Amino acid sequence: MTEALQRFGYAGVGAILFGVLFWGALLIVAPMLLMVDLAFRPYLPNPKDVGGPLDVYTIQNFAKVFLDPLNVWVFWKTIYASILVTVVSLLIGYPLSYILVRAGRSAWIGILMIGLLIPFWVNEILRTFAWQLLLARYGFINTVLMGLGLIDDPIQFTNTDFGVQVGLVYAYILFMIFPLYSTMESLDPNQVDAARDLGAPFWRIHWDIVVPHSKPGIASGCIVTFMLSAGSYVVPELLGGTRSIWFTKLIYLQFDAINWNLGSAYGFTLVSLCLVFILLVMAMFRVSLKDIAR
Amino acid sequence: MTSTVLVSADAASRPWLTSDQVMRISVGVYLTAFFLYMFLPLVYMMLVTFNDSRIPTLTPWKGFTLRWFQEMWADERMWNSVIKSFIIGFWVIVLSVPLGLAGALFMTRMRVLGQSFVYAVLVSPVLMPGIIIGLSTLVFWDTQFRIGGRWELSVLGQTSFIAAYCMLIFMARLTRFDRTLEEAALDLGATPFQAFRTIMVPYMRPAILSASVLAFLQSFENFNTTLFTIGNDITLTMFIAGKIRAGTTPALNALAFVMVAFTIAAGIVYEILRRREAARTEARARAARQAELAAEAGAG
Amino acid sequence: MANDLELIDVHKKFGDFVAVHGVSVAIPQGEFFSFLGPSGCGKTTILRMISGFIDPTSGAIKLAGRDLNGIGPNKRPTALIFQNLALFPLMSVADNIGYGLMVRGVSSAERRKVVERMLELIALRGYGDKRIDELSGGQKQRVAIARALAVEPKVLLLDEPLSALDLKLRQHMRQELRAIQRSTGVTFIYITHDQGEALAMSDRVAVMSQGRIEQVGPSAEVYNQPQTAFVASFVGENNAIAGKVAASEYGYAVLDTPFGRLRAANPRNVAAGEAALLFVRPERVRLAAPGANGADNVVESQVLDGVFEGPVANILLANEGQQRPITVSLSNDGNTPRVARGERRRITFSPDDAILLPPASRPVAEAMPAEARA
Repeated sequence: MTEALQRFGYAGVGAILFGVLFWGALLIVAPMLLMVDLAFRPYLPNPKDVGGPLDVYTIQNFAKVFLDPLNVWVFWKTIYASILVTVVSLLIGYPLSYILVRAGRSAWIGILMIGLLIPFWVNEILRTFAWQLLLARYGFINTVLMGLGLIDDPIQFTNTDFGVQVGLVYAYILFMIFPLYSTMESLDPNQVDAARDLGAPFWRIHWDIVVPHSKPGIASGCIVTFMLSAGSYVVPELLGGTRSIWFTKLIYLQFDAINWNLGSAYGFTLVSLCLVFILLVMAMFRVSLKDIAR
Repeated sequence: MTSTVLVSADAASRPWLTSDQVMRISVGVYLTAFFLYMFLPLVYMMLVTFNDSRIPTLTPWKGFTLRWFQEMWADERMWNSVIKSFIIGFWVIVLSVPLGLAGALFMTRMRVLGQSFVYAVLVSPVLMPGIIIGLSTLVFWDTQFRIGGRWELSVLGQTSFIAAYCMLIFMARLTRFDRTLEEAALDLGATPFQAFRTIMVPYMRPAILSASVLAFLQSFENFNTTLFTIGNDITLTMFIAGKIRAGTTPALNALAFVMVAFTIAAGIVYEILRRREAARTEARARAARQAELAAEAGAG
Repeated sequence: MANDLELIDVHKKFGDFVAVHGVSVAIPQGEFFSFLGPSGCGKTTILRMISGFIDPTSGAIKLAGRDLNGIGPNKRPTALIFQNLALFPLMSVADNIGYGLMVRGVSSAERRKVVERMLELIALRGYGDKRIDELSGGQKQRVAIARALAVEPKVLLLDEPLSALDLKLRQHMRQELRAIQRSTGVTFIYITHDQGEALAMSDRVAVMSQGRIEQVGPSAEVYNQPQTAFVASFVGENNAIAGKVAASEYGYAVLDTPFGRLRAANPRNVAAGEAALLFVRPERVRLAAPGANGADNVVESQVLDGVFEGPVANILLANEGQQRPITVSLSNDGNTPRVARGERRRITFSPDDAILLPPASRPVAEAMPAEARA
């Protein structure tokens, strides 16, 4: 602390602490605590009752969340589909990251990286809109399939879980690729060459050397992809429509109906789900928070 | 474009397809397929703009037109939403960059009890679904301060997680900062503030620039957090979502065309600047090597 | 007297670790003073206390009679040259040199004049607009010196600034530093673990070990009349022969050693019956003619090896089963005798060239062969 005072002076240290406090307390912790607080209080339509004798801690909101079979079904579907999206993204992203790292010395790498970044910087909602156009009943994919004579009638892609999953993979795969790429990049290529030189087959090189080294990247990619998929609103809204409802939509509907308490309970449930997933992945891969958030 | 990178045709004399070649060809196919997957939807979305059809589709082709650009251009609501997005993006930069810098300096330059807990708190919004950030921001400011949904609230909500991205960028650069530079400045008589302004800020300038760009882009395209906090205001993302939900004409594709084109142009400019900077660094290194050789010749 | 620097019983503790232990030394204005010691001996801590980055745990540092305690590094009339030089990479050479004046609010016209003068001093005229990464190692070195001198410090502190340079350039920079010091008259305080550097440049040297000053004095004195076993073995090459004091005769002490009875000066008055170390420089030992005898110490031993080093050729001698050989340095003057390995030779040295010292009370960095020190 004395060093910090010497370097930044009292005013500088004060400004730093004020910034951290403002951000951490007012923008992060307090809103989160209030959401949890609301989730455990009943919805009182009459503002006069707030703070009154009826305003007590209760778990009735959570009872509502979990006693409704439709909610439970949507909840499990969100988990299942998000895990599926995460696994598919990993299966596509892993080889791609490896190829990019191995091509690292090539003059093309800059262009390849730009090629990766451009779709990433296009608005998520526009990227989803693009898939809506492709997957539409008379969209590009159906037209091509029918033109080739593979199908006679258009396939229903939009308004299905499948459509949502395709859109989610497209929307979030780059969040899988970038952490994978950055951890793989730090692997000394001589290790791979040495293993190959010693006669290790292709899959053993990966299982014994590349995967263990990339563990933090895999963990971080999986966490972020899962979190974005489970928390996605735009993709299910545009590609799932009314048929494939996502848990986030349930949250929004409660807020639309001004029942913030129930909405907070839904929100708290989603946060808990993500937290459990993060802790599970961290335990599975034996990595710490600092490895993930980089 | 990509398949030529790794599939080089140097195997004329070898037998038809060695295992190495199989690998190279599959890599080429894989890369081509992946980048097709990445870009085909965007290209299709852009091409649709030029079809003279009220429904956004390429088939059937009803003739070339530019009228969807005109319709898009004439849409006043869109322009208002663009302006709002820019205003929000501006304020998000103004808040996120200093907060992120404070967080990064706090993490890298101070020793305080509970530091890793504070770190966990500050990065937690990055691992939190955006709509949760949005709704918690809304309920907090509305119930505690009677500030309901409006664009200022979106700024606060977005800042809470965008500042964390900025912090991570700053921390990465700060860990490579040579502290003796700061000590040298102090030793030469600079006040702490002068040392910060003349040494730290110039050193951090590239990071501040990229954090600002990142903050703006994140804010500009944000949907989830904004959805809950925006109230009756409309950002460009909200405008687009509304258009799609209501069923749209290719005027939206015209907008998408412009935005994607901007992104690609920015990507190309970035790559050119990067190469130019790399060349400049290389030239200076060469000059230093020459000075070294000259010194050696002079001494010997 | 005006700008003399004084350290009075300075201590510095980091937790339980005592980095500096009761250092007192007075450095008059205009002196080239070196702190010499192995890494971890506390010399860098002393430098950082003088420059103000850390405060002493106890004791005082005074400049011109004024206690510097509590005065920040930016308000002290000292300037530090960092080990890695710490040149500002984003500024031009001129902006680096003018930095100290800029933060003091000196006008840019005035600044330009000083910068020009400084570039002149370091023989880099016309280099003002260059960027730091366009300079060679020696040029960077000189810019760092100019940057520090531009603020006209009372005391210039140098933290092993030559360690990154190659041997030739290092030797050249020694002379240049010395010349700059003479022409400016600024007090130089130089920190190094390289005894050659310290001896070559300094008016006086303080040899440090484990947070304490072992000896202070002019280079020749520290080299020729070491006060402690540590100084004797750390500064320069030295033969150390362990033994027990048998008696005193004719003003010399007589020591029983594995090489026989040897006589040596006894400045610390080690009493009879006590263990002691006899130090004699390799260049003060000669090969004796067969059958030679006299007042000098004579040792007969077996040649283990010869090491040719250019200006000198070293011969290592030891008896069967002895671990520590005696080194004899023979000047490569054209008359160097040929010596075969395994041969028995007699060597001789004067008792005046040998010094008897008590063994270090604290464990001296014994594992300090010549290679490690270079």
